[in-house]
Amino acid sequence: MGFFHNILLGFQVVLDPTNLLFCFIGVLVGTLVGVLPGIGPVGAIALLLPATFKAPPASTLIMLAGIYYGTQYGGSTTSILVNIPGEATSIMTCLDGYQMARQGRAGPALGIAAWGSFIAGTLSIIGLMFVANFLASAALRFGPPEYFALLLTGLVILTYLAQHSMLKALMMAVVGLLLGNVGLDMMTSLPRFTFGIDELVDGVNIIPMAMGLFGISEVLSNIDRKVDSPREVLTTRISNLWPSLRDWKDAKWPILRGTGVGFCLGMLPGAGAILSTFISYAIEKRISRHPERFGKGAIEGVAAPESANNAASGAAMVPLLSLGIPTNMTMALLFAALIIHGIQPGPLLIKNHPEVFWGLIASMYLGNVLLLLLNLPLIGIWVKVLRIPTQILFPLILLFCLIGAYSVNSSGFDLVVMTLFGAVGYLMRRFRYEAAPLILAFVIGPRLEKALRQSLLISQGSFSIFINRPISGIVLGVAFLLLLLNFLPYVKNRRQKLKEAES
Amino acid sequence: MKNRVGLRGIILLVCCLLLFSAMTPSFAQEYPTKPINLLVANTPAGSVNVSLRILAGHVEKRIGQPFVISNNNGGGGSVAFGIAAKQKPDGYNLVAGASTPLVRIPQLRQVPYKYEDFIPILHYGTMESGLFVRADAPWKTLKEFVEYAKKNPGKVTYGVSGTGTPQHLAMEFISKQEGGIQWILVPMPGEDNSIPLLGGHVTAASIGSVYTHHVTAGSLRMLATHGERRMKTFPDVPTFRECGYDFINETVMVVAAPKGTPLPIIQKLDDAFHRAMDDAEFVKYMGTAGNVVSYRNYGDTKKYLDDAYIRLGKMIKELKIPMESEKK
Repeated sequence: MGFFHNILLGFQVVLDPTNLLFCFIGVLVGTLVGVLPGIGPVGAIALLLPATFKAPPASTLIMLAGIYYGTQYGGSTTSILVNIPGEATSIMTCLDGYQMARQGRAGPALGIAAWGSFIAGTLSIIGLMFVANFLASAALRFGPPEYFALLLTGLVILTYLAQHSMLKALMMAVVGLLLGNVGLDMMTSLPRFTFGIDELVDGVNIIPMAMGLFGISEVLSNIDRKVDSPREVLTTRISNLWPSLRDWKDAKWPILRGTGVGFCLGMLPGAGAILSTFISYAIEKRISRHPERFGKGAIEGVAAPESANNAASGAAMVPLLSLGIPTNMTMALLFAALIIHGIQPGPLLIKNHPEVFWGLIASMYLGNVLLLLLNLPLIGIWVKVLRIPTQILFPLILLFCLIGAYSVNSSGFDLVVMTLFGAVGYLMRRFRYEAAPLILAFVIGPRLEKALRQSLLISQGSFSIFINRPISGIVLGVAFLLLLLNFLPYVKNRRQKLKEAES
Repeated sequence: MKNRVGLRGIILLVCCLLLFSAMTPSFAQEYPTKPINLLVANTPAGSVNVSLRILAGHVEKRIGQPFVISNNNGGGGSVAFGIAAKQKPDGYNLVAGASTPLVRIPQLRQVPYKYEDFIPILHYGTMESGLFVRADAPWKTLKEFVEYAKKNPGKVTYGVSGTGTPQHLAMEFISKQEGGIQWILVPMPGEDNSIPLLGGHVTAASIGSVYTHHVTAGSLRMLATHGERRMKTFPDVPTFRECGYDFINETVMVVAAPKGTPLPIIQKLDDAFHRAMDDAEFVKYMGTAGNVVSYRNYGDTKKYLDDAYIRLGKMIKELKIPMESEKK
């Protein structure tokens, strides 16, 4: 009874014309921001935050949250069309999404991304509503050792991402780990590997880096190939705009699995959302009967990470709303928005301000529907972008990348970073080194180090802390099994060869 | 006759006054004649940024020109101050942030600016901090906690947002005064750093007042605060000084300009910001965010920061906080 009463209250709040408008503005801005590379939810919310000083708290939260999950819808667009991740969480979508677009299947790719996002978004709100409190207290049990175990599993999963050569993938992972070392040392707060550049004190910024490695390098290698055939194929054969029945059959489970992974990891602090896209992709590749299709336009490779990032965006609200813990920068902004209105996020929020909490929940249902309605018709338009002649499209891409990279910190240094990684990314492509393991290792590395050092400080140098604690022990066990599973094929191959040699 | 002259005199005086009063705003219109750049050394979600944006909205109306506000939180604020130090001191380039990148960071590591490169305009708020434990922890007072830590060397772990922060210095200060306590520092950088304490992975946290909402919610307890006075929102929690540790930390929220910015401009901005501080919304935000509205004018802020610079410098050396060696 109480529940229906509450959700009814929520819809009452969101169906108020003003709030409806706020919700619409939120998701619209979110989609736009998601599409534009560089500027992400943090930038957009920061810009709009002062504008909400005078608005009622429920409306503010509805709009700002709309921007957040809206970006996860829009982020896939540029990944699929031009291989530029619109958001850090859309990096994985580049791998297969862009290949699908090159095969003239941009429509189905965008379609499955939108539907996957919708399904995952909606499911994660249901999760947020029913299990938030329970899960939030579980999230608190994730201390440094547990987080370390999880990140280590992430590193193991990295080996599944290799498309061509495992050795090259591992080399790139090491480069990523090294790059992740740049910045302040967490124990001494003194700079490492910054070479006296103050901008590097916080490390290399992932957004310009990813834009360089994927986007700029794409432009460069296309110029290199000049009027090579792929683009021609693209313009002549844009087959169907919607995912076919077969596509749906292929994507059905990846969407659900992506949702699960995204929801669980999304609650964790730090890079939960980004990690969930990598991990859900790796899972799909691992369990697929045709792992060789991945990286060549497999629809599962779009569906899983795109669902994961949307589920993660819903899940990130769990610790904020039920515990008052912002787990990432965007959540910190929502936190600030609530505080501006004199509302303390945390366990008392639901009790003291039910209209804010339930209004937000209801608005997320509605927002996801709005986003689907907004994004599906856009697909037709986006696909036409691919018809723009190369000599116009590429300069435009470069321009948007430059503006986007600059907008993150209004820093010229980020442009240098992007250009540099553009050049590096181009060379990597030429010599068939992959960017995905590099980025994943770069994301994991610093966090892994932090968790490891914190754990060992707490245990006073004893490694038993990782095994004695149940969650981290189990997770480490899983990581070990995954590693073994990876080696098994090699061992089998070796045996086979030995046998053949003997006989 | 005399009377007439007097009257004339008065009329003349009034005319002069009118002319003057008409001229004063025209003097004022000389600055600002164009939008003012304001670089905020804080994340968009940070309380310096949010409070400043509320203030800026009112200051804009008063001085008749808009602010162009941008954020750069690089290096805990040192990047923004590094950029601002190189800008033209014409009153159109201002920087704002916590006092940290002015008085503390330059003493710990190499930064592309010096404390002396800036003149403060005012400080409009104070960020407080304290020592927190979980609400179900057995210690009700700082004394009990310190006693426990002394008797159980190596058992107590405490989190701080970073090494060398005033909150870290506070713990080292206690340890030194008590003749060396073996408690373990766990740096917890990042916006999610309340999880280790809430989840019971560390024993305590010496950290900013942003944690106070967990105290209100009943999941944490604050043993003592680092401020000069008790916090208004928690009048029952004693200060460090009251507990017998002569340590204060008050990180203030400063607006500053590059050295060489003309004094009249500084005064004008000081006044405009000061007046804006009466705004109810600003006061409400500061309270909810766990900050205190506090004001010192440009001269007093300078003195206050000078003192803080010397005090922190001395403490960093005495407590042997890691420092970056001088560049050759």
